[in-house]
Amino acid sequence: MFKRIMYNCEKAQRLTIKKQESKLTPYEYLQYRIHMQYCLVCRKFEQFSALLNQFLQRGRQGLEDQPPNKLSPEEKKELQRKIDEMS
Amino acid sequence: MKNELNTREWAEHYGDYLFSLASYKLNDIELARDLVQETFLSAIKGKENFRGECSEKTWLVRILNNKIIDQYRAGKKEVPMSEYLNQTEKSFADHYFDLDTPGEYGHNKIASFPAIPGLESDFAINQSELKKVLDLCIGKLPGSLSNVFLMKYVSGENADFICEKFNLSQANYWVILHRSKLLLRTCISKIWGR
Repeated sequence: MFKRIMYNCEKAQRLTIKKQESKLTPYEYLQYRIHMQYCLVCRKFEQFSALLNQFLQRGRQGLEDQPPNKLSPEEKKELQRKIDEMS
Repeated sequence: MKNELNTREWAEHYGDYLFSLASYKLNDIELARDLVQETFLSAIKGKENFRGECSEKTWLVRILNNKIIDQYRAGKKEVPMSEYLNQTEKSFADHYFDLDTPGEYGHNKIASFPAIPGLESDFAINQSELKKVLDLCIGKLPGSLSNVFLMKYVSGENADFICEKFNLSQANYWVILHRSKLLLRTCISKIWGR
């Protein structure tokens, strides 16, 4: 088991993502820890993934706060007219 | 009553946001415009389904996301995701992981993992530059991956919804997010690292 996880970056990185997005099982966490202890490349990937998450999160917020694409006032009026008609 | 919809200002309140979201994900302004309208109209038709468990906005985004997924489906012949992942597994592994070392895949090939200056250290980075690069790279992801990736990271949908809609197992969901991020990393480092 030790060797399998030691050399398996693909799995370790998948666990990294799962750890960042949800929760690892205790066994998964153990595998993750063992691998990370020894693997510089995967630590680097973990850092990248966390940064990317932060960045995307900010982007999502930005899209919500200041939508880059706008409907024209006329389009909105027309849209609202249809909405009112139906409701 | 809490779960009553107030549709009077919908176009003003949510129009731009839904339009931006749809444009970003579909890369098609006209289609995005149509889907925004359809979203509002479906919402009104199904208003008894709104139970006030989430905000109006969240509810509308969910309806829009469903419509976007229908578009993805209509757009091309459907290859089951598990099949796609199996077919591409070897080339992916060959490129990123050193198959000569023991274990299932072995270590990442160091050569395919150059550090990204500024990005992987606490360093002031030019946010708007990075955003441009990232958008470009997301646009280059294979469609099967980017649909899931965008649903997760741009729309902020949860894993259960995504797995159900794309007919994915949880395991494959993690595989897709992992591959997307690795591909993005390579793409960003190519452009950013120059």
